[in-house]
Amino acid sequence: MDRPDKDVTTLLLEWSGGSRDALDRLAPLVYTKLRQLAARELRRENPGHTLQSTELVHEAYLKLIDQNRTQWTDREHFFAVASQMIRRILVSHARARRSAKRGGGKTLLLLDETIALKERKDVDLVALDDALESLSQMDPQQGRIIELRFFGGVSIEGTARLLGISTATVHRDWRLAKAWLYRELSRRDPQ
Amino acid sequence: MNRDRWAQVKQIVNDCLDLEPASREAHLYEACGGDASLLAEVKSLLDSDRDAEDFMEVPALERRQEESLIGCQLGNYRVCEAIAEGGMGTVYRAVRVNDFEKQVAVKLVKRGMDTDFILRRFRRERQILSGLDHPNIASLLDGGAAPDGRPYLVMEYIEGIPITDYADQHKLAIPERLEMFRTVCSAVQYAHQNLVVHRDLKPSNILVTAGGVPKLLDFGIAKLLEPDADSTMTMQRLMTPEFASPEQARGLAVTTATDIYSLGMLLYVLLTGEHPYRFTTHNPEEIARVVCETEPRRPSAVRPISRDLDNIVLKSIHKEPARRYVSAEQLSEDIRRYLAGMPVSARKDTAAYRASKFLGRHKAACVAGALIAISLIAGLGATLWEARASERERQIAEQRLKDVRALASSNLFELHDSIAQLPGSAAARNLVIQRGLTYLDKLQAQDASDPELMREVAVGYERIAGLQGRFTGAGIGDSQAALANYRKAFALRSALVMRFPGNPADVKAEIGLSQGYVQCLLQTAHTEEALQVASTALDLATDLRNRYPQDPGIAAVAAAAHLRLAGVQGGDGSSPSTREFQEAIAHDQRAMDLVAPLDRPGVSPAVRSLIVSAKLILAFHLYKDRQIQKAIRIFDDIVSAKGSSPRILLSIYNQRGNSFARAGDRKRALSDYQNALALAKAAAHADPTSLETQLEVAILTGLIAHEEARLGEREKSDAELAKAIENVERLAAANPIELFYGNIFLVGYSFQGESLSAAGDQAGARAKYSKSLKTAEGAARNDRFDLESRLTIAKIHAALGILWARSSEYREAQREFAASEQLTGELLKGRPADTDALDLSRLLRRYSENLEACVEGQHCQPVERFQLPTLIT
Repeated sequence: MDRPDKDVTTLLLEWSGGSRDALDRLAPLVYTKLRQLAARELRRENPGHTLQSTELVHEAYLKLIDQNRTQWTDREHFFAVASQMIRRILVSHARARRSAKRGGGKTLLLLDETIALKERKDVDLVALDDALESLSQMDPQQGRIIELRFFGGVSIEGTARLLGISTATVHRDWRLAKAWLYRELSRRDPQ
Repeated sequence: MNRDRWAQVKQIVNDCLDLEPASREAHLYEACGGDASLLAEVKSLLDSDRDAEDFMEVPALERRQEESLIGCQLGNYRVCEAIAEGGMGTVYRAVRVNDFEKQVAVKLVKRGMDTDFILRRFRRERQILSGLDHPNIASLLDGGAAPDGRPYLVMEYIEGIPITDYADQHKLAIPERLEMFRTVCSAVQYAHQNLVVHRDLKPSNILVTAGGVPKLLDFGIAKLLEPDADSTMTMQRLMTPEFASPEQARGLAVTTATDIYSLGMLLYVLLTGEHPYRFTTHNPEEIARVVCETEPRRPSAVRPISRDLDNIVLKSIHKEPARRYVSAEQLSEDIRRYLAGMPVSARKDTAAYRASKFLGRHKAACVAGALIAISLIAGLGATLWEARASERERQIAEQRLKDVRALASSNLFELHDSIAQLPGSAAARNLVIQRGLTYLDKLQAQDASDPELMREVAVGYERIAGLQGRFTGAGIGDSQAALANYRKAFALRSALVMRFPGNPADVKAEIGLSQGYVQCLLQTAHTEEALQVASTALDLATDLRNRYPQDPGIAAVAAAAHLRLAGVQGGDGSSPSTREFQEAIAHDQRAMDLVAPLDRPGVSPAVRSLIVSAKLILAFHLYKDRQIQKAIRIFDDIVSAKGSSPRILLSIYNQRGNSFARAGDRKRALSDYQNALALAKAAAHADPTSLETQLEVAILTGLIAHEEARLGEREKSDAELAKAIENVERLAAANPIELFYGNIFLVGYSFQGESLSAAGDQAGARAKYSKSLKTAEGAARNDRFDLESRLTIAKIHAALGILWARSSEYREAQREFAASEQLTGELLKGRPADTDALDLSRLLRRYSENLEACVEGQHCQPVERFQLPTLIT
């Protein structure tokens, strides 16, 4: 295992102490580590392995953070950072794939309506990223809930603890934000 | 939208979501207070909330793990890209390895969805779908399991667009649309004849290729993807409600009539461009209500089309399944008549129509029954006509129909059995069987959806297959013909079990059928399929057992299913096997556990014989797994328990003799063989027509001769052996069924060869072993899964090598050793721990090394010391 990076720990502590600047310096470090781990997982030959984002983040956490100096709440803060990072990794990956595909675009073969329906509901990460940006402007809390839940794989309860709100509120906001995003994404012409 | 407005929207949406769906509307209008844009915003969010379902429910990273399959190889296919994803699985485009031009669609069950139930369903569906071969149906090409065990199906890859889009884009005129629709009907008809119901026919499942050929996708897959056929909830989740039939919307049984309904809906859309019902919401419950309770708009009310087409469409989408077209073929025929300007059969509902409903549906079956029964009951036609008059008489007619069917079929079999014992009756018996088959084929073709009829026809096919497959008594020993009829019976039985999964009688009947079916598959060198059928039967039996844990009859059925599978895995001494002895032993033991509680005084003879069979089979598999002493103990137990029938005793003496022989105890082996031979001779004397007994006499004579030869009593034994083989050759010439005589020829010739070689006649010995080889190769017939026969072939090559070496023909010997080595190597690749194959491989290596030394003229072990491997299995 890598040696925990003392700088990252310090930055995390500063950030949870309220320093905005710490987050800006923390992000690239976490980002690099997460990207390495995510790439390894995505490359993995054996499809029998299930990639769990929480495991991934936890692994990154263990590798980056000196746990002797941090508390449980710091771990959850780390998840919050990681969720943002995973969003960036996946969206940039999706944008790259999209531009690579452009030109040779092929019509989807939809094997049945059930599947076609699900396919439509499947998430276009690039469009989602744009829509999420608009949602966050209108309702920052809902934006963060989506980020934690969808990108970070954080549970309803974990999200509630992280944001310091009730699970009932997370439930409601999560549901409404999903409906809003779903509508925004359905409105866009997929091609 | 600004934050204040959003807060307002949020409040109303959340309040609405807290309310019951029924009272939402009222609150909505009140809260929005005439603000139209607010109302629209809230409404659209509520709609999205309902449609979003599992949108974003799986975190982004977990969702992506499926992508890692891309670039992987599944069987002979390399996965290129995911092309669609559904609740139960993902569809990938893949190409054939070594032939990248060949594109296929691969369906893989999603991780997490691979529950036992779905996997079983998947296997079952694969068996049924693999039988569909029609130019307008996307075919199932292959299937298998991914490295993590999830099953996948390989389907024909279709590049095309939905049929309705195609018709519009090409501006097809009505007659062209109708012709294309008729092509779709022919595909559906074909599937129905093969007992496959689509259940989810709709434009997006019918793609038309650039060449204008319609192709139906996902035949039967809808059924496959449905974890529980009876669950309405599942139905709602998986079905497109706009195309669902009333019976589907109600969660009732789905039959071929359901597909007729879907065809009618498709025709409606093709003709009018619109849906017959107007839905104001996407709510599945509301849609179900509309579909079940309201009358569809006449197509002519939407587009100016003929009244005849109106009637055809409306008959197809009738709310009562019984009042739709009986078959896709009839629907197609009515359209043909319309196109030809002839009157069509569809007409507006009338009271008279309702009254004639029964006969409309059953007349065809009546006529088919009458074909064979005409000489048995006169005046049937008249009775049927009168039956139109009243309900009471309808019941009488139905009862008569049953009587006629029963009479016709029982008469058939009685006739067969009564002439079976007459010398030279084979031709007559064949004729009776052919008549019976014609009758069954007609019955089945007339109404493939009537379960009673299906059961009866299945029993008929099974009985005929049984007669054709049997080599003794009344049997006519035609395995290929038997196999064809077992397949028909099995298709019917599978369809019944699929339709009535909760009916123990249907499930038991399928398990019972699979006993004979598996035996026949083995006899005809279909070992892989035998394995599949036996596994499916065991799955069914296990399910049944879980549902009725206290039922002793079901315990017996489950035990039989375990033994059947074990028989394929470990063999039964004369059939092919996959040489998975430990698996076989595990199943045998499971069977023993199931029957042990039934072992009480006064138990029925059938159960008694099942209990003894379980012990015998277990002992045989222990012997094969080289647990000889354990096997002998079981044989001893059965003998000392007394009360076994002479048949069972014969089998025990034979097999215990084999065990002693393998353990090197020749005296005891000989004594057991002699006991067995005495019993076989007594049986042969009692029933001189039984071929089986004659063969047993020959085999035992051979075994005794073999042991005597090893004890040095060669002269006496050679004569006995020659007599026995001559006897079988005579039987085989009169009744040429190669495979059945295989065992005695195989072993018998090798015994003779061994004897000739010992006497110094190596060429004569090789000739005998070559005969063995021919028999063994005939038995294996490229059945890759029959490892037993492959091992035997490897042994014969080794024996031939030794015989060549004994004539100092070292090159020839090396060639035979190499052939043997190769087969053994292949065998070990699949089963690296196979003791017999390992032994043979070691033997070959030692002999080959010696042979090289001999070739180079160095000091080598005398080739006389090379031991000929035994072919006794």
